[in-house]
Amino acid sequence: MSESLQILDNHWQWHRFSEATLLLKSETATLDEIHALYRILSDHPPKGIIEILQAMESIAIVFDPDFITPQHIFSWLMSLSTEKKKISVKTQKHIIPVCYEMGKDLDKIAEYLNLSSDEIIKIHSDVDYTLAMIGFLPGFMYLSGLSEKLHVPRKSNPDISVDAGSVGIGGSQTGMYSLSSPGGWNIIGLSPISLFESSKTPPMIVQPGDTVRFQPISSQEFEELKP
Amino acid sequence: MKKPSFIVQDPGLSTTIQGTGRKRVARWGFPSAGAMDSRLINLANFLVGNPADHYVFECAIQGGIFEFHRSATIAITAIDAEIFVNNQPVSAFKTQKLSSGDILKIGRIRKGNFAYLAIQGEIAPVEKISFSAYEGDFYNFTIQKNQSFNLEEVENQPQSEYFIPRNLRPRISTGKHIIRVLPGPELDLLQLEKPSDLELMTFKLGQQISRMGFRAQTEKLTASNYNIPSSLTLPGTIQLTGEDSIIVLMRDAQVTGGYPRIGQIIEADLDRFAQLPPGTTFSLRLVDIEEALKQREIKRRIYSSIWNMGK
Repeated sequence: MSESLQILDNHWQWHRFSEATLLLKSETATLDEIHALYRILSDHPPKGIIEILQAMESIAIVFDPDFITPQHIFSWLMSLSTEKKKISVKTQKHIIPVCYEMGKDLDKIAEYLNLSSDEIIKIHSDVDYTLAMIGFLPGFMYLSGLSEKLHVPRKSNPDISVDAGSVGIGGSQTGMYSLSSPGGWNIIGLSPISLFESSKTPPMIVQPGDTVRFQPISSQEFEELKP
Repeated sequence: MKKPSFIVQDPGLSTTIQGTGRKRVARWGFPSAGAMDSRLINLANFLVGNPADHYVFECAIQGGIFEFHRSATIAITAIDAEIFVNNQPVSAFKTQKLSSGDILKIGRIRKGNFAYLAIQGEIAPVEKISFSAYEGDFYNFTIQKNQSFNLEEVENQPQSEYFIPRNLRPRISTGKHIIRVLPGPELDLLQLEKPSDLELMTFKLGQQISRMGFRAQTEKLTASNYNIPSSLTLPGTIQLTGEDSIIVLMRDAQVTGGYPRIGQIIEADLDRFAQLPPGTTFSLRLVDIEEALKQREIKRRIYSSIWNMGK
């Protein structure tokens, strides 16, 4: 990380990550501010910008070095105004139905945390989470906002297969598996709906910075909602 | 019932269909995928008169057996592989005309890890393939035994036959392998007297190669911290996964990771790295962005001159 730029309310260090990628990192930006910048940058970027990416503490700008120079990108970044910020950072709220009794690790977690299953369900479904980032797998949602009462370390032996739609806890985060895959998170529920369809553009409607809330449902409702 | 245009009698160890990689999908967590050696897919498509980014078959370590039920124009690109048509050896890097009934066998890949088969026209699977969501589309589709395909002719495809002269074919050098890298964002986490000491280390590739990443081992390479918050990664990103252990992320790698990113292989060297066989030793050389862009331009000039030659 070398030189720094003033973008909106924060100082950002930039690093030339690859021929076609600039990485921006800020010591001061909050996750909300990173999401806001991600949305602003993704909204009508100049020609030559291929894609904007976002992670927990950084943003990456993927560009075509034949069309745009880093200097042009810096000018664009520094010209962003707070006015634009208000327009493009509108976030959405998504309600996701979850059948907690179908979470294969729910009983184990209840025992580990010394709570009843009902208490876990109540605590977990009583929070507005923020989609912190997408990563690990296509469409995997890392959600921030998990109650400290529910922090559980990841499994030391990951499961060979976790179903798509599984809602899990990994350390201080909760998350949702978009696809069935191996995984080390503790599964406390299963959603009948898929938020991720790889054949669609965009493949998912939830965006970083959006709010996610889990709605507990019964196994009967799960069957009814299942497509 | 009409016979399919060709059948993959034997897909070898792992044969996939690849293009030149997807763009604008990393934000949803998709790897870019695409051919592990962008030079060889480019040349294979050139030889059959397809667009440069057309889908091809990528064979890893070992080829496969393809039975043709119609005539076809094909080309194979491989650093060094055994290739036979009806048991007669044929050359790579050359346009080949096949007749109905011909059996193409790509055998052992003697040098390098990946070989490519391009076929003129549009290849379409006979049975609708249900792609796993992870693959998303035609990209990165793993071929099964006896998978059959139709070939749809595209109008006005050239009938010319070409070969790539030896001096323009990618090679694996016999000397020491030096891979050029840009300094990674977490290079300063390494416990080295100075960053350039990284160039003194010798790395040895593990015995497994994968489209997701290549592991390698060295000696006395440590970091002050092996865990960083989930961060963005690219094909070519070198992560330090623990003491003396690195993984070089390749085309199918996850788009985020939590290990320190110590370097980024320059675009011009990634194909060459992808062809290093298991167990090969290599070292890294730190370069700046100007050098990386210069090498990118040199590579591009070579390939555009080949395409201009065919016009």
